[in-house]
Amino acid sequence: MTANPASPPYRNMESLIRATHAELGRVAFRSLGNHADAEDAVQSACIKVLRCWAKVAGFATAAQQRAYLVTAVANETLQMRRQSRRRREVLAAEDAEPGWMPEFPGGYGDTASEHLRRVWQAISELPDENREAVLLFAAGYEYREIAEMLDIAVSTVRSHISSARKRLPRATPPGREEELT
Amino acid sequence: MNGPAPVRLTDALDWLHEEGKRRSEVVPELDVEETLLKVRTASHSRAPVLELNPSSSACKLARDYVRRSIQGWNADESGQVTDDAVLLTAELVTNALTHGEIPVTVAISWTGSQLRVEVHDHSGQLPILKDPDDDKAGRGLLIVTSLATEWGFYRTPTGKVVFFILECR
Repeated sequence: MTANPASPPYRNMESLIRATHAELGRVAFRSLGNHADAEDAVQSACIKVLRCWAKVAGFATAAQQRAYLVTAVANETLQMRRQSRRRREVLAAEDAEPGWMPEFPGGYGDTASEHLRRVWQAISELPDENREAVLLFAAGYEYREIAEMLDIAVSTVRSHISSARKRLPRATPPGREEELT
Repeated sequence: MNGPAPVRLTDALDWLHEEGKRRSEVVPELDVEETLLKVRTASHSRAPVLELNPSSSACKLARDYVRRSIQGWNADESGQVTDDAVLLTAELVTNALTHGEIPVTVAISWTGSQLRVEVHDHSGQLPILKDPDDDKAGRGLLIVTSLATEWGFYRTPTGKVVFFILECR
């Protein structure tokens, strides 16, 4: 997957998908935690990118095209999180994993679900560039990996995540803001 | 203080990060062929419409638009259909710019097995199919009738559309 960043762009969507599919699957699964949702996220993101292929075809390098597709998948996972029906399914799946919720730093069951909902809400309100880096960070990727995936410098990733962190603490559960200062 | 301790969202983010890392050990393999199938059959792939003004480059723009869309969809694995689609599009665009009225727009869509190209213009005057032995004028449409799987035209509230369909594979 680590082709030369300056490789010429892919000529069609199929070759772009073939080259990135394994990575897209990892991003989606690490974010959503189950196979069926990961598959849906990858498929819808690919279809969306196909629809604007005329734009993507004009990118200068293959790395930019891959970054665009990875970003589309990351955004798709966020959208799936935020669709209420989906969210219930995802959370139900997460609840079903033994030992999953108790490790969460904010409580159990409904309380944890509510906190998570707020995290995703806050992430969705971040500026585009910050959000894309944060989504990959939330999927467990390190700065170096995120930089490679998004075709940007590690220092840029670091600054996206740190500026996102500055915005996040403000989105706290209602009535709790004063306890966090 | 009642209830659980408040949680900083940055802590939650770090927790998600660790969780994502843990999941990396159990990532299942997704089937690339399944994704490609979904993408190919995504109900009607449609490229954004191309708007043309009468200029020397209009035909080239239309040809590039059609060629690039077909490449992106990988709609023409055999390489047979692209040239026909480009040729027919150029004929229809020339007709629209010569006999029709601007604005002229081109739209292309793909169903997974058929390509459909539409050329819209703002004249309600429908195209006339000439006798093959007549003269050079009007031959463009004859090429369309001979190469296209299906073709036709109809009036719209703002003018007319001439379209053709090519079967892929």
